Amino acid sequence: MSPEARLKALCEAEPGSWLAFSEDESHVVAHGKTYDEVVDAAEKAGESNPVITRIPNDWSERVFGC
Amino acid sequence: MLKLQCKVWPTAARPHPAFPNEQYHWAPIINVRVVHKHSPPTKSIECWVDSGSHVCLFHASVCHSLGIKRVEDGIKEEFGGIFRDPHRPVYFHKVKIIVVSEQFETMAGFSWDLGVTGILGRRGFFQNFVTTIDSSGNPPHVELQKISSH
Repeated sequence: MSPEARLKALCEAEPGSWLAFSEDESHVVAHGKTYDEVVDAAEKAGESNPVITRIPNDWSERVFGC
Repeated sequence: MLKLQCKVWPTAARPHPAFPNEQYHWAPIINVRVVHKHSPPTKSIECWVDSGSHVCLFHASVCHSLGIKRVEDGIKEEFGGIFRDPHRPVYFHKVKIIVVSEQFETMAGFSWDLGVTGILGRRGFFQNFVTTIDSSGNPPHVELQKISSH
């Protein structure tokens, strides 16, 4: 997946949702409201080894420190 | 040595006012899987390598698949910093984190308030890997050298 395609997939996903990419991360296979939902949807789409990411509620920059 | 490609992450504003030619940046995001007790591993989940975090953190949505029925049964700590609101609860459970062919055990925090899937922090992750972000190439890479324990 090109950087531009990944950027498009991330930005078009619903905030706070979950996104599943194919195992080789070449394309999006499923969306879901929760981790379990997106895994189920990915498996129904034929992808048993998806790569899962959560879409933040917004894209504001965070400094991850704690 | 594990060499993992960084991943694209959107900038906050597009175009970014300080970096008007950039629509995204390369972030140290890697795929890991998580195991709790005898649960099957999670699917590969994208996590941020973050030396600013003293622990590893995961979104609580993955708990069900790990067999953790109530995330609140973990050891509670209140966190600021990464969350929009200060003092948000994080619940710690012992997990095993799998990075490609390597794995380690740690107490990791789970939170419903985490904006991303997971964060790999100093306790657990950086204790086990000498970590380098090599931005000399395009795309940049995260290089992980497992620390051998004696």
